[in-house]
Amino acid sequence: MNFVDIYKSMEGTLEKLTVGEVLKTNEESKKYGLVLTAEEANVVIETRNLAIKNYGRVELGIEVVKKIIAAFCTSPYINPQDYASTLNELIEIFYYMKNETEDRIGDDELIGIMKEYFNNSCRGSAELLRNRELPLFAINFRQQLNQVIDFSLKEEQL
Amino acid sequence: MKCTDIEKQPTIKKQHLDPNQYTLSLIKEGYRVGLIDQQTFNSIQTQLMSLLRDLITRYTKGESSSVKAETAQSI
Repeated sequence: MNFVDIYKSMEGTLEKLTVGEVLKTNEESKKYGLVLTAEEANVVIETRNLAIKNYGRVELGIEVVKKIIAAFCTSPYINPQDYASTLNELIEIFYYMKNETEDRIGDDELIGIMKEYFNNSCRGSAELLRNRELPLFAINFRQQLNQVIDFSLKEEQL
Repeated sequence: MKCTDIEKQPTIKKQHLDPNQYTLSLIKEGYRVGLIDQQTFNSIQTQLMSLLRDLITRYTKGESSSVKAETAQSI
């Protein structure tokens, strides 16, 4: 059964169900002065949908979006003026990194890594996060992964 | 009983069924000829997506909510 084709045929339906879920995150984020409007929530969903499509991924539900919001709304580097735009960048970066790390890192762990870099070495710059820190991380990660695989293969041969 | 009392049932056209997307084409064709109504059509899709979500969760051991499309095809 080809789930992926059925999934693609349902993309528009899922969007209508999830904007409300995004707006619900305001209940927590407003404690930090960060609130998304309905229009901004729509854009967040569109960004998520586009990233999923562009990076060739399949995802049911928006747990990742909610987790990113929960993780980053406490960041000292995000202010109300750029809250929505920063979220959109972080969502795109997340799905990019899922591919770059070959799905070897779980969602929570990856969001934790992103948050760590964002709040420290990147000092709130999503651009540095996307173009410097995370690509370097991905390269090192894949190198270590290949070393582990090589070692395992050699052990099997012995 | 008159022959005119018998209702003619709409038939699914074989040429509308795609062997590479059989389930989806069958659902769409069933909807097209009125064998499935809109509510049933939506319900079937929703249930299938729920199955896919469960498969992804099991495949990733609950660690990820998304997978590559190729992976989704294979699971």
